[in-house]
Amino acid sequence: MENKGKKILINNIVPIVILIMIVMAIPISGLSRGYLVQEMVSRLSRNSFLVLSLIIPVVAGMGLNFGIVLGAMAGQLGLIFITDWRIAGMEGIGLAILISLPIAILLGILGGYILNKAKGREMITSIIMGFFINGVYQLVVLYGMGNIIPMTNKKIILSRGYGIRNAIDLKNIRQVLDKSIVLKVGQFTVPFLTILIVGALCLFIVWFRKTKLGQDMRAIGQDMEIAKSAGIAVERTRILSIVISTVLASIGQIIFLQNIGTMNTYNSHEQIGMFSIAAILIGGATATKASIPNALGGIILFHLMFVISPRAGKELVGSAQIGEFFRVFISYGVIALALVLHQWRREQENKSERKKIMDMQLSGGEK
Amino acid sequence: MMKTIFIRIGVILAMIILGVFLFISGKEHVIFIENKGEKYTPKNAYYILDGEKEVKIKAKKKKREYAKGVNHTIEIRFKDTSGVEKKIVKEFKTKMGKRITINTAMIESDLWLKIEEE
Repeated sequence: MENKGKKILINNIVPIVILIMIVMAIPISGLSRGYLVQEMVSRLSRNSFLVLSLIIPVVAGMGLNFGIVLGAMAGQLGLIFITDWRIAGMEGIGLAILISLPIAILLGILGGYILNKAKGREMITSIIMGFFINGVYQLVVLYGMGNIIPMTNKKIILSRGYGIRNAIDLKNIRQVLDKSIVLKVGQFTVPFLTILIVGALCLFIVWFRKTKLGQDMRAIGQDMEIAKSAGIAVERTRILSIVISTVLASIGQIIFLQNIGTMNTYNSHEQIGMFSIAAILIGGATATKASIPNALGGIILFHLMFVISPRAGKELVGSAQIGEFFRVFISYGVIALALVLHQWRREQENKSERKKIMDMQLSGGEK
Repeated sequence: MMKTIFIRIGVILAMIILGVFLFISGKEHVIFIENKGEKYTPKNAYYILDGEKEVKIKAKKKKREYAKGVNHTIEIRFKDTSGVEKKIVKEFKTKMGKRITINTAMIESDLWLKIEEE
């Protein structure tokens, strides 16, 4: 019984630690319950698609895909084009997704291919790959657009005549998804269509894990060598998992940015990789295990922390700027904490495994 | 093998067709609305473009509006020479690369819509 309790504690140590921090910080922040609930509804609908896109590579044993920034870049390219062509409304969202799909697929294939060359070191490789593709993205957006790729909308072009401005106003598609079907639940407004889309993605993930491809991915995630000897095309399946993740991330980034309403051309994609991974880790996921509850629970916990921490920081030390630093410190610190706790948990599991084997050997020896 | 290739080509074609449809139906066009007649110009005219909120336009003024898609309606309200308030609804189409100017003061004549090359 004691062991069971300890195991539950070890398995959920990350969400428990964060929950304790949140419970302590809420009264200090002075934010009302209604405000926090509304913020969580809005942030859950905004971020879920991106965070859920991380699940499939984890199932395939490829760890946390920091390469979702590649998908985010594809999504942003789609948004740049529709802003340039002045495509508005749902059609704008649809066209941005259509434009980003082939780019995300190509980047996903490239990413999957590179990650296959770096088996066992996927996470760090995907981080560096993100930096590399970010350089290519900047080259295309900063020099190619307006020079090689024709651009007509002067509002998004730099005054020198080529390159995209640092911030793009997405007024043509601002909250188009969120405001198309809005439900009023008490004092709260719920972006029903966005939540419906997130729900559809959850159903897709549940269904996908039961398919032949999903089972193959799970087998690869458990043991690559056994999967290979069972006749599974390991490399191809791993590439497919990254392609799916990248494509979902590109759609996720479009959903995210339509909610925000402005796009930071050179930074938006960098931020989401780190924040999405922080969210899923806080939800209790690890580099080897991730589920839908981890993703959704993690978003709530992480964003509660995100909303509360600047205010709590301000109340504690009396400076808004310090509060802002506090927020950044919390976001990155949480990733470090989650990874350290993950490692600690793994060591605890190994220790208990060893103890079990030793106990078995000892009891066998006594007989 | 051939079946897979055909399916892939079909998907790509469907995506292109869908893209073209989304481009045409989602494209925002600039529409200029002016209130400047040859013989008579109402002091104030009011218009509703595609069911959006009503906008007032003073005499001899020009406004820029954005409208999404191809088919549009404009509802114009003004007082004629005898002071009687009139409400006229007109339908028009926008085209790529064409600049459209609607003259509220000449809405009853054939010259209410001017289409020029951009």
